Amino acid sequence: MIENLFTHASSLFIATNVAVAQAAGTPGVPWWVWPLALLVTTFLIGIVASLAGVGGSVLYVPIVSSFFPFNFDFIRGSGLFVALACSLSAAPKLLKLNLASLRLVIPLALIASSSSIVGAYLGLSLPQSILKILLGVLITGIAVLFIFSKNSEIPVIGTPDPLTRYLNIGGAYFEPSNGKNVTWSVWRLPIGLVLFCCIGIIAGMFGIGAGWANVPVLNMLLGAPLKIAVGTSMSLLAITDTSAAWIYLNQGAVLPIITIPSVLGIMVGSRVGVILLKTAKPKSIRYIVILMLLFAGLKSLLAGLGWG
Amino acid sequence: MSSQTFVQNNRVKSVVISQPKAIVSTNVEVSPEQNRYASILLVCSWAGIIVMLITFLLYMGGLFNPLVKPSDMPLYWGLNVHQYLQVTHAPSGWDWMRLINHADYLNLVGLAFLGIVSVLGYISLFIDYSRKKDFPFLLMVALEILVITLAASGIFRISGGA
Repeated sequence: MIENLFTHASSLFIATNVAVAQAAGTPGVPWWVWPLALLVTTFLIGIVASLAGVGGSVLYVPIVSSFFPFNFDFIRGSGLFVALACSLSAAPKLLKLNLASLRLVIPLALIASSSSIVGAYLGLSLPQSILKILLGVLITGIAVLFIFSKNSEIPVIGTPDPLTRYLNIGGAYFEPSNGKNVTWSVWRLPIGLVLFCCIGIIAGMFGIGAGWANVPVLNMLLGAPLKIAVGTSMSLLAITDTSAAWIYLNQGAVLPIITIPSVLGIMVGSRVGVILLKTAKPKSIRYIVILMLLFAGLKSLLAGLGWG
Repeated sequence: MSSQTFVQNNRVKSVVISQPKAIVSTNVEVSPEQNRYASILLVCSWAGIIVMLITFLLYMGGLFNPLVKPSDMPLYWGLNVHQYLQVTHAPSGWDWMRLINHADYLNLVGLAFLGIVSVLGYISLFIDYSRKKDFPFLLMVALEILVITLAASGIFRISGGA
């Protein structure tokens, strides 16, 4: 039943995008169609994103820039608020369950949020054709990363580095699947800080939340258990995206008529997705997301090259 | 070499090898500062979203005399931000605060509030870490507040258009 529902949702998603693409070339379309179409599209993105375990804005920016008539500047500004709102709504529960660690969040967030300001600067200064090419390459790369990445539930780590020991990073959480407490720490924190600097620049530049990059770095490089990596990533985004969002807001690149339906649609959609998650098959959904990312990435690349 | 350990019935069982003693806390209870920070995020983010929803409905309903009506937005939303500011004479930085009696700028109140939620949480962390005399984290929290405040202050301006 859930599979059927998901198939219907996918069909509706495609139909909405086709209708939107057709309407984009029709000057007589009433103005209110756009925020309404955006609300429906982001609602569906929210469902798909939470079923596939990805942040909504990584789908939002390439899809909305492909099918809606809004300028890329405003879409990236909205993308940051979409990521920020999703993070703010999910982080409190994860922090209260000890599935996110503030002692890990704080140093990484400081680096990522500072560099996201640089990214926002670059994003608002570079020509849009260049940005679309870079976004196309990035989104296609993320799709490939999703195909080949293998997260580790509880990675095996070596001796924590001196910085991790100095900052006393580590903790414990309850694992309900085996009824045990899992204690954890991380290693290679200095390398992680360098990578989070790059992640912050990308997040600010393209207006996408960086969960797709945060989780592999936290899990595979730093050695945080997968649940801690996901929770910490979600809590990090609330801070990383705040700095960049302010740059876009102060620059006038946030239009409420685009941003607010997007935020509301994706938040409601992601809650519905979480409910469906109990019975859905994440693997098939993951393949659909990979295809959507490949499609959106290639479309953005072609648009940047002037071929789309 | 592994650092993963499991705790059951108050007995610690190392899964593979040993866990560095200096780091690991086996206490699964959330620290008070983390709990407080999470509560601030929870309450403030929902407050921001409710404000956002109400102001958006007012805007879409044509109330509070918007400077750019929603029905006129299709003329402008295809422009890049630099062109948009020129054509609509929209303010940049915090100048929009003077226009919040207009529905389109009133909408920015909820969005701006979402942008300060993390700072509110960090202020509570600053107080907690000061009490605990946890200086490395006190310094990082202070720097983060500074970074977000600078970003929010509007001193970083991007001139011209791409």
